[in-house]
Amino acid sequence: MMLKVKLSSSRPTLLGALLLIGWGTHSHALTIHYDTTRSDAIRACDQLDYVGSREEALECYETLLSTSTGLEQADAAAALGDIRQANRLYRDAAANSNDPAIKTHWAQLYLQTHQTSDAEALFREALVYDANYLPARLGLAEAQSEGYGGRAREALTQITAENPDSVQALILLARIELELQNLPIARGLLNRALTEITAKKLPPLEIYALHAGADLLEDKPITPWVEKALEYNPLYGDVYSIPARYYIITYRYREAVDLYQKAVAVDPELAVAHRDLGINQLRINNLFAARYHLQQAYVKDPYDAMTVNTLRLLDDLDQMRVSSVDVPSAQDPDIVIGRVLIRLDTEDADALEPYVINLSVKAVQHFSEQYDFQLQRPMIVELYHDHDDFGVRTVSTPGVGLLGVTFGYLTAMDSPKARAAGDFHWGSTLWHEIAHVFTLEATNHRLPRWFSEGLSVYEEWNTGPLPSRELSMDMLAAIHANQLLPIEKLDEGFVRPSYNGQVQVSYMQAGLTSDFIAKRWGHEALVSMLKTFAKKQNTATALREAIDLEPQAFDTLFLEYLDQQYGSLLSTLEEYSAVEQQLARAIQLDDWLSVESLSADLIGRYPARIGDGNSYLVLAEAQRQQGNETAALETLLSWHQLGGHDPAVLLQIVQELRALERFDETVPVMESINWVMPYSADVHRWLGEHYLSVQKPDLAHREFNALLGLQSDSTAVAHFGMARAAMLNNEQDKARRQVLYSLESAPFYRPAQQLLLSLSAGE
Amino acid sequence: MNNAWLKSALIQRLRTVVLEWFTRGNQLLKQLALSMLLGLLALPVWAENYAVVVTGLGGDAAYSKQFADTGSAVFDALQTLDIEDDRIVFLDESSTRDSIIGAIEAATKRLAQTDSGVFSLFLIGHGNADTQGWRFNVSGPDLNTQDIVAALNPLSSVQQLVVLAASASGAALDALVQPGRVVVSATKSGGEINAVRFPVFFAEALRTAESDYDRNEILTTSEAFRFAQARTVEYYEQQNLLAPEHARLKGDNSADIPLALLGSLKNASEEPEVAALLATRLVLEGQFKVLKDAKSDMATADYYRELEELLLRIARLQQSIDLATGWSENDAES
Repeated sequence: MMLKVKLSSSRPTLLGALLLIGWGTHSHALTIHYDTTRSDAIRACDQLDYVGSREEALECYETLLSTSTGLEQADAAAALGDIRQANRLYRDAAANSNDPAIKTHWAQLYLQTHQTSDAEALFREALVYDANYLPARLGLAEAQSEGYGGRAREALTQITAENPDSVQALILLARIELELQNLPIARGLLNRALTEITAKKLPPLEIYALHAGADLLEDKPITPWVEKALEYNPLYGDVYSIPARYYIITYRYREAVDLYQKAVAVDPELAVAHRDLGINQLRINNLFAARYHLQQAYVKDPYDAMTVNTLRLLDDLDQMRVSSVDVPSAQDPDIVIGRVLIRLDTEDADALEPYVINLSVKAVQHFSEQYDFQLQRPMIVELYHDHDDFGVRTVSTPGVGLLGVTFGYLTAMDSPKARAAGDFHWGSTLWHEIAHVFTLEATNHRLPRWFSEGLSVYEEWNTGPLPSRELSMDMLAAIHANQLLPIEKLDEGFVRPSYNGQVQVSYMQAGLTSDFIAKRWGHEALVSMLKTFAKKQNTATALREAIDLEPQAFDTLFLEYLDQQYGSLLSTLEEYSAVEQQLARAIQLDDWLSVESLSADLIGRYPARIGDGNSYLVLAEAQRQQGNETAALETLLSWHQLGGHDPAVLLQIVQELRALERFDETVPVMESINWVMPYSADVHRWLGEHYLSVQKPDLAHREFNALLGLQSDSTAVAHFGMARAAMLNNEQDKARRQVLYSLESAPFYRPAQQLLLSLSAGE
Repeated sequence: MNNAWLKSALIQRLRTVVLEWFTRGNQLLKQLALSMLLGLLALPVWAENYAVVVTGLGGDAAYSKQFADTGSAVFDALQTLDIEDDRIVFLDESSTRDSIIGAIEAATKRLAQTDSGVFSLFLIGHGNADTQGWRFNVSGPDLNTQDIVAALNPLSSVQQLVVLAASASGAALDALVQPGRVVVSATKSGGEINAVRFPVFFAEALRTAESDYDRNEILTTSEAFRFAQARTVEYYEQQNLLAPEHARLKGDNSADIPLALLGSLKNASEEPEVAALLATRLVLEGQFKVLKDAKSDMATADYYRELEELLLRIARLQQSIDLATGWSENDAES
């Protein structure tokens, strides 16, 4: 297995970074330069490249490399893909010079080699020399647009206002508007850019490709733009790969793969298209094709961290264990309604697999019925115990702070081992992601992001393994501050957040919206909307057809609903905060009587708050400090029933319940532990014994199987447990096999000896 | 008192069993019979066991108590190996560098008079490391790595176990490892300086049958280490803390160095009937190990058929032993 060290895009020092990386040659890629700071000689070479005369263009650049000096020579080396030489020449040119153009061109080299933060720093250095230097401002905005913040949009809006003829600004802003699916605005910007291009005799290729992207988002054929572009430059593969991006942001990975295949057919040297083709083949589980194209991308551009990391991920995928489960219908076990392929890291496969299977089967049964959709191909569920691997799996997907991601039929997420114990409720995350599989595939990925996330959050709250429906304090503050987006603009909160934490707020808003619709008009209204989206309709139409409301009217009703649900809390948020401060002071003073009273007050104001900063645990501690152990335990049980799932607290509850021999109440708490931290041998062993004692052999088998998978405890106990579960199911052969396995690892294990003797006597 | 009675019974029983194997066992088992016989007789469980158990300075009452509890657990466990009372020495918090070295030297002199033996050293307490190596904190000058190496040097001909149940003890690992010696440290390096939890779980391993993974009623060093290491990892996971300690075990034969006898072996008397049964059990265990070693060379069906047959014999024999020793389910933990 290869090392899991990921290439980093961060830069330790500005000028030293390029020297640290052993840069060499890089295949020639067509880059369109809209700025006028390039020399006339190099622009003449560029023109040859723009029309597809690649050989002539390369000769032209080579001539300039050997005959010119300074910035022109560096630009020639960069155009030829000789990164090392270009870097040296830019550095030499920058020495003792205050010319912002040099820093800007040098920064472009960093952008070309995917070192965005380094590029940003150099653009900023250029702006130190000239704060209004347009190419550097544009470069900075371009670098920022590779992240997902709203800064680039703001900057570009300002630049286009100040410089309405800047082609590059218009194009960069159009790209962002297209990502937000603001198509009329994007088209307007592109048309303005096209006018400027014609006047300035610049190539229209990128504009054609972006128009094709807009057409694609409107479900129109892109052929006219493709024909125009290829007529201008027969090697312009980006006319396919640029629109493919808009398939990806609308989750249509299979269609994106088709376009990337066309892109590399037109220009086999297009490293980024090979990379994106590989990444998206991986998303639709075509592992071999993915590896081929990623290797092609690596040969052409070995400096792309996304390519290198994904190739490493492929090596790791080869080591993962894949199991297959046929899902029976909930009504008729003889009917198979779908197949699930589960890919788990071998290190925690045994411990996790029984739970993943259990939840996946339930989810497929539930969502098939809930959304009137049957899986058309196997669903793949992947859990990564290395968060870096999961990160690579999610690369290039818009959005931040994800725990899981779904690419159509493929769902990937962190395994509980990837994070600190109790950091997230993995069962709830898996439920959320599988809901995506159904809603995305039921609409052929035609639903807006807000609705897909909204339905998943709605399902998490109403049918998932965690009963919690806590709104974060950030969400409450956002409601209070009127920061919620109108339903028609809710996608912007996910794709281009304008304030810190807006993505999480948008998740909550989407979930509340779906929940409100289901409560007010019934779950069938959500299904109706889903079907309307599948017919390529927008949010306004979906609302109209499902609940006969215009978006604005819906927004009004939704805000009224929020006011009914949370109005009293929202109107006293400041008071809530003041009580929290009093509580903190009382804790510092060990004034447990006041702590009890204040924490109970906070719980009364907002009972659903069970996560960070909740008052239940404080109240329990206050009760304990005053000698009221019984009340403390009851407080913790209330917290658990509302969805509290801190594993350390759950273990504490379990210990207390067991000490009190309240075994029936222990079981659900232990089950909750496994959905957060399924690696406790004691929990699996206890639950296994419990399920045997109440004649539930399948659940007992699940627990002992998980115990076996932990590999930190006696395998003899686990096999013996499975043997007894088999006995309860009247599976004598299986029981004999398991008891032999048990004794094979512990030949003097008396309980297993006795079972073997009884099985032998029974013959 | 020593375990010669059991060794004698074992030799008697082995004669019979090996003969039986040669007449009815398959060719593979015949070939392995002799090595099994020799292997069983060479097990350290039959050797004379000497030990020095030291608890270092606690620094505060809680640690002093914890170290004393752990030391007692080790002492009690080693007693079950039927060691003569004066072969195991327990030095409490008042011990000094000189008294520890003296105790090791005394054991060395006695071991020199035997043809085989095992010497174990347990250092339970706080430690620290610097460029000179690891130091075990005791009253007066600390006991350092060089002291331990020098004191153990004359014992090179006997099997040794050194357990450094103390902070930063990983710093001494490389200096102590040598052929014929198993070394356990509570940390992987001298940089892990926090007070360690590993010894607490090591003591727990000596007190519970749960750590006897193969349930043969002989708790070995490797089993106790596995148990304690797993519990330590689980402890930090449950506390949601990055583990500041990573125990290490180096050296061969840790699976053959016993720390305690459990269950019927622990309770066994010198009655000839019980001795004969236990001897037979040990022989069957030897057969079991031979069969397991041969697994990869056998057809799966043949292997499990022979395994089942052997396991049934072991199970029936165990019933007889339990009857003879008065062992009952109530004596078992799991």
